[in-house]
Amino acid sequence: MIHSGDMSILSLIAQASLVVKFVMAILAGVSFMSWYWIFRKGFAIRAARSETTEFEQQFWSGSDLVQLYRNVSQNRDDAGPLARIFESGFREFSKLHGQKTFESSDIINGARRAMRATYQREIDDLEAHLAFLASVGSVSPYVGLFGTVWGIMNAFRGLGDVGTATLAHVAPGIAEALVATAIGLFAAIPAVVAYNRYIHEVDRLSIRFESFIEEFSNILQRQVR
Amino acid sequence: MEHPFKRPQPGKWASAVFSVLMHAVLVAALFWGMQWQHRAPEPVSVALVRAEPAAPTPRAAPEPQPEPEPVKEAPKPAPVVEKAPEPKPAPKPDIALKQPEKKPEPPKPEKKPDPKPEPKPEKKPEPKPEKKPEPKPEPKPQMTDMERLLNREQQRVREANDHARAAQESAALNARLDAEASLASRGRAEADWIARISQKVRSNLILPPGVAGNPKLVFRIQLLPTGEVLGEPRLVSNTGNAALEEAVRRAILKSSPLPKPEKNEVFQRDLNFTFFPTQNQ
Repeated sequence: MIHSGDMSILSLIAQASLVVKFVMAILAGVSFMSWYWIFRKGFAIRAARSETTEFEQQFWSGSDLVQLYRNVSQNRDDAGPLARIFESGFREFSKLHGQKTFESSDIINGARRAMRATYQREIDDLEAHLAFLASVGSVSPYVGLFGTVWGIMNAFRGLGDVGTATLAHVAPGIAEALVATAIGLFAAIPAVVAYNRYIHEVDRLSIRFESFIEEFSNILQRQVR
Repeated sequence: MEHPFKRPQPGKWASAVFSVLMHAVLVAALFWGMQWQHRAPEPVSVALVRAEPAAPTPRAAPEPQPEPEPVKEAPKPAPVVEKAPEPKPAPKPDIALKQPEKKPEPPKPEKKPDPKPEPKPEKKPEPKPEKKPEPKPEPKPQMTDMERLLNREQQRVREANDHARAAQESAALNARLDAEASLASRGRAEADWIARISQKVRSNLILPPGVAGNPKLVFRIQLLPTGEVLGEPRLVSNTGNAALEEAVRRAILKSSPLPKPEKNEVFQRDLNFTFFPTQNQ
C-alpha cells in the first residue's frame, strides 16, 4: 500500500480497493436517485397541497356545483386531486340522478364509490416511490458499512506484511474505508427525513380528502330529496 | 375515466437538475472544505542580527577545562578517535546554523547510538563530554590526519573565542555593543540569568542513578519573552547518558516559565542553555 501524505477526498477514493469502489459507485447512484425522488415528490406533494387548498376555497365559497364541475372537467390535469375526486363523484351522481329507477341511497352510494376509487388512485399516486426512499434510508448505511468493513479488512491484511505496525500504516486504509460509510450515511439521512416528512404530508392530505368525501356525500344526499 | 398516471408529471427535469446540483455542492464542499493533508508547521525562521552566540560558548568552554586534567590518561586515545567527529558538529552549528533553523539533524543521529553507550562501563560517558574541547593537545604524537585537522579546527575556535568579543564588536553587526564595558556587563547579566535558570531547572531535576563526574549538557531552548518554553528543548551536545538527558529535558519543561533576565536585552529567543546537572551552587 502506498501511503502518501496527500489525503484529499479524491485520492482516498482512488486508492480504495475494487470492492470498496464498487460499493461507493452503487451508493453514489442510490444517493443520486434518492435526491431525485426527494425533489420530485416534494414538488408533487406541495402542488397537491396548494391545489387542494384552492379547490376547498372554491367549493366552500358557495359557487354553483354544476359550474364548478364544468370548470374542473375542462382542465382535469391541473385541477388537483381533490377536484378530481369531486369531479368523479359529481359525474356519477348526475348520471344516476336523472333515472327514476334508482333509490336515493343507491345514488349516494354510487357517487361515494366513484369518489373512493378516485381517492385511492390519488393517494397511490402521491405515495408512489416513497417506498424507495424508505428502503434507501434503511439499507444504504449497511451497504456503506459493508464497504468499510471490507476496506478495513484489506488495511489490516496489508498491516500483516509490515513488521512494526504503527498508526500511520493503518490510518490511511481505514480513512479510505470510512468514506464508504460516509457516502452511505449521506444517502440515508436525507432519504429517511424526506420519507417521514412526505408520509406525514400524504396522511394529512388523505384525511382532508376523506372528510371532503363525507361532506360532499351529505350535500348530494340533501339534493336528492 | 382517465388513469391518473397518464397525467404529465411536473418537475421531472427540475428534480434531476436539483439532484445533480446537490451532489456537486457536496463534492465541492468535501474537496475544498476538508483538506485532508498533513502539512508540517512551517518553522519560524528568524534572522539574528546580533552576533550573540559567541558569548555563551566561550563561557561554557573554559569551565570544563580544569576538570579534564585530573582524568586518567589510559582510556583517552580510544574515545578521542571515536568521538573525533563529535566536537565538530557541536561548536559549528552554534555559529553556522543559526540563521536557518535546520537544527534537528545533528542531534538525531547522535541520539540513536545513545542507548548503546549506556550499558557500557561508566568510565566512558564521563570523560567523553568533558574532554571535548581540551585533551587534544596531549596525545598529539599518535595523531591521524583527521585529528590534526580537528586540532587545528579547535585551536582556531579557541583563538576565535579569545578574539571573539573584540572582533565581533568591530564587525559593525553590533553597533550598540561597541563598548567593552557594556559587553562585560551584558555578559555578566547573561551569566546571572543562565545561573538562575540552572537553579530552577536543578530544583526540578530528578537525577537518574549512576551519573558520575560532571557531565555537561547543552540544550537549545526556544523561549517566549515571558520565559515560557516553546516546544521541546533540543539536545545540542551528547553526553551518552540518555536517561540523564531525558531527565534534564523533563526538568526544563517542568520549570517552564523560566526566570526572566534582569536586563531585557540579554534575553534570547533561542537560548543555548549549558547545564551541569551534578554541580551544586
